[in-house]
Amino acid sequence: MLRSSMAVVALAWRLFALTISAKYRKSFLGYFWMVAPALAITAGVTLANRAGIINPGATALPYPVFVLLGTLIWFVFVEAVDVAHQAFEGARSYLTRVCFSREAIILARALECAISALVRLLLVLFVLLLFRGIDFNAVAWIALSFAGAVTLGLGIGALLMPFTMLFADFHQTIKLWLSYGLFLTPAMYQPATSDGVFALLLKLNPVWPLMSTARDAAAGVALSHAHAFGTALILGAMTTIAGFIVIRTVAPIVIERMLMGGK
Amino acid sequence: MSNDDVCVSVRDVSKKFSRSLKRSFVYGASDIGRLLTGREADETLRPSEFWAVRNVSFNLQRGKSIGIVGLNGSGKTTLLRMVSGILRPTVGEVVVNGRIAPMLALGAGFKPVLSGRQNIFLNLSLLGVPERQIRERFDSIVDFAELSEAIDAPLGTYSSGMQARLGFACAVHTDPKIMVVDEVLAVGDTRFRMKCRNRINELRRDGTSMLLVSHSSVLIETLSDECIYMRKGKVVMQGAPTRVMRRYDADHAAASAQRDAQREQDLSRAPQDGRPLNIASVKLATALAPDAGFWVCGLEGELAVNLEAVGPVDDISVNLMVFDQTHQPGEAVLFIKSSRDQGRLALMAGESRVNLKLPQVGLRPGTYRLKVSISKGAQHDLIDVVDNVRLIVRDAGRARNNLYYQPRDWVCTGGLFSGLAEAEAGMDELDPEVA
Repeated sequence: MLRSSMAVVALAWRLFALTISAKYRKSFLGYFWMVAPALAITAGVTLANRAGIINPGATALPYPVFVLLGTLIWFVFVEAVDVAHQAFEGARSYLTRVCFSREAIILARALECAISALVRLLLVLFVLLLFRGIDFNAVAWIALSFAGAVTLGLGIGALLMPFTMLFADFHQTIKLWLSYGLFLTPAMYQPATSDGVFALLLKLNPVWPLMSTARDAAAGVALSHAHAFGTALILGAMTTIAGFIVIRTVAPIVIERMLMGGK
Repeated sequence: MSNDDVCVSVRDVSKKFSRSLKRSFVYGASDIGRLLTGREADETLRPSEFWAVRNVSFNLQRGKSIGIVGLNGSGKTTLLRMVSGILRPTVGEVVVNGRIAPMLALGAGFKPVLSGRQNIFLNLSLLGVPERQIRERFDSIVDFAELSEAIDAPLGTYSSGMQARLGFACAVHTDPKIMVVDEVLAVGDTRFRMKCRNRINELRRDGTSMLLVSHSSVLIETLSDECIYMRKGKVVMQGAPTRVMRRYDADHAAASAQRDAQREQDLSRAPQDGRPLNIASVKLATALAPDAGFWVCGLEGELAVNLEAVGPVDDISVNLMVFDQTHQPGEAVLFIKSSRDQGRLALMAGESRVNLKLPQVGLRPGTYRLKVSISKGAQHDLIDVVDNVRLIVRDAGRARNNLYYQPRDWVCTGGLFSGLAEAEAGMDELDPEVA
């Protein structure tokens, strides 16, 4: 069992290394694209704020930093959700022709996602350093928030993957919700504590405590949702493990359908 | 025969698929649900489902090779995929003992943007070879593929032949215990094909077992120790290659004969207005029967073309095209023109007959389609054509394992042949009417 796990990790590492090499060969700007969308949104929203169009509520951090942190965490989460699906889609040509440990391709893609999260994390830390300085404690909490976003997204995506591969409509629906999610989550504003549907959505949203903790740590204040934060991290770990087990079990059924859908 | 000697054991395996794409997705979701909740898989046929493979069992011993034949859609590739572990059987189990090199997957995972070198590592990692071994075999792989100059260039710059060679070189260097070969036995030019064939033989001599799927009966008969004939997912016959291939050829001829019987064979035709010359009828004869309707491989055969001319005509050529329908459907195997062999034909008004005599029919046993035409002039303007004439060439045991019958003589100086021809295995299964 241990040997086969090591083999899976070794294969994943090799796939990852070669994919990164392939990606790097194709583009000049490379890592810039990982952070460009978040930067663009931040710039846009900040301008709107300055112009008085958007009123995001009181924030402990300077608004641009507030938005950057929120949107980056959300994007990390969204990218992680799609990892399992993209891994299988990308390997369509050889999934149906060679028998190998399928978890390896998901792991390889997850590594790519982790690198992307790391780049975004570094950007945030750099910006924080510029704006107000930073201490080790804050770095640790923020890094943990990003890690939590990755594992949470990975787990949810892995559990959904067999069904998103089978039903294209389902996949589209998920993608749509994730893009709406940017507005439903407090990525760009501070939520006012109120009742109703919105508050309920917020309570159920596992990414919210991650954002909230990262922002609190960056601002140097006490964590407001520490309990929920812990829950979100545990949820991330559990869904990831469950997701991999599910994929390992049902992969042949999914792959059969991939055969039918064309090579 | 101990259990250790069996590398692939297929036990009563069945596999079902759904014909409808949308239904198959729904069934897939339902199967996933059953699997995750620990319930038994559904072994009955749901609407639009069919059995692609049904109740197949066989054992592959170490060092042996099994050939699988069948028409397209008979379940061969599905069976191979189950043996390779890509698909799970609906019923039954497949037990594999040893590493499989699936030739179904030449060049699996190749990324055009990466170099040949990187793709070798990628492909072999996918096929399960540890990195250390890849490094050890790297030079041998590049030599085999004859790509030492281009190995660091992006794969996308390779020609398709180069890519195929690289894929094959990787596959034969995986050190497999079992080779699963689906039609792709050799790629590239003749010299490379020879190398591929020799390498496969080498692997076989070293004890690698082989599962081979091919349409070519020559390949199956020469390379496999046992043969399985599949039709519509079921095993029709299993055993010695010669016997099984005989049944396969016979079924095939019967099938195409049945198809042709539905098509009207109008060999007698009335002359059309405006045509100076008509083909009245076409007959196939053997030495024993002037209107046999078939030929026998290796024996005398004759084609009689009865013509009717309105007035005297000249500069005529009688042409025959023969198309294979059994082994390589649609392939043109003969194109004979009387003008090339005997010069231009001049005919008098009224009836005449042209006989094409074949001292020994070289076509191998099977079903063929004839097209007889008459043409005029240097450009061979067509005057009349008779198409879709069914020709069955029957087996007298003369072209065993051969692509065609070759008339021959043996002479030895300094030695003596006994003169006693030996009967080949399977001679008792020849066509009793003609052998």
